[in-house]
Amino acid sequence: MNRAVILTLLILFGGCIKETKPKEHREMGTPIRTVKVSYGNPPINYKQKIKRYFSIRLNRGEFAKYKFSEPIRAYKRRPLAYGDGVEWRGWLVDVLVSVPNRYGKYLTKPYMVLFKNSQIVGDILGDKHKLITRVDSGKF
Amino acid sequence: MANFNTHFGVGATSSAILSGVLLSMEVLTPMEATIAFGIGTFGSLLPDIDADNSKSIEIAFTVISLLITILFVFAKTAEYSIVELLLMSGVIFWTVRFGFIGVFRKVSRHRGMFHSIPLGLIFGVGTAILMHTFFGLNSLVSWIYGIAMSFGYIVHLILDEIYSVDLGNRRVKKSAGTALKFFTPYQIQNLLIYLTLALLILISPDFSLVKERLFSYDAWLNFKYSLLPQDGKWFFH
Repeated sequence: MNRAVILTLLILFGGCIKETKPKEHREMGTPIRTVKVSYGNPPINYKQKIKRYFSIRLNRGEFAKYKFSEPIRAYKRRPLAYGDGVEWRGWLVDVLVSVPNRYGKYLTKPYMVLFKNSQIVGDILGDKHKLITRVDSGKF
Repeated sequence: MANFNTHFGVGATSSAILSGVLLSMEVLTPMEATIAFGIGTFGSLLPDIDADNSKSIEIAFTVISLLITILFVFAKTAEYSIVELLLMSGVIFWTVRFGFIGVFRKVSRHRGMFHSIPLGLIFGVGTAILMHTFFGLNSLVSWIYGIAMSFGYIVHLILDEIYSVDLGNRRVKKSAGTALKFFTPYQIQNLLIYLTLALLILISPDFSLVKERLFSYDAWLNFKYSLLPQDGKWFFH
């Protein structure tokens, strides 16, 4: 019976791989100075872009109400199933989106909208994700 | 004890109802609801993997082997050629599907710890962690997949308990109480199971969205509104 417990624990903890932070890139031959990673410029007209984005992506998105945070720098690690390293590095905007349900009651959901060079590259439901690291702190 | 077909039928029906309700409440998209249905059905077969000759162990090991093989291919696709990937995938699938199953059959005992509520919860939290960290899904969907897994698992345990009552002969079978249990007779096993559950909860995704979308007053209203026709007209709106 104890062997069954040990086997189960091995299987379970086999999946719990340590959270790895992306390695800093160092220039060859200059081990002291680290290379500055580029987040690009802050997104321009981000509020309009986000409104346009959600108006077609959400059910009844055309009636949505928004509350935006200031853009902050952030990066997202690649999910472990798809390898390692940084998947995205750019600007993140926290948005509270209130959309009416089928019966007209507004329900608010937090989203993180990811920008790269002023273009929206994706969104994540919620205001935190284990793969997202915020470089700056932002406020609504 | 219910047989494989009964577990499959009841598990699939319960999972369909759960995912249908979540779809109707607009918590899940149609595609996410379909995946939740699949996970719930799989969860409802999982407790019987400790039965050496059950169909469940065959199905569970096939699904787990395929999952591990697919994960390997996803992670290593940039490093290896197609033929290398095919050969290595074959070895991995074969080893897990036909190698590990023998070891597992030797060390597990039917109606042991796999028929217990905390293990159902461990599989659920484990699914949520896997979906969030391995596949990068958001915390709400990850948790719903985890809940679907635990839901299916616990439906199986309840069904086993129901089948331990013999209505014809008006007696309770010896198997009564061995499925829907919180503790096993072994203290070390209990300690390890609950310790594992606590550790997994510690590294699990954020739960706040689930509370807000499923266990709040707004969620209840949303469910109530979705349950019956609001305009009082049935079928002809």
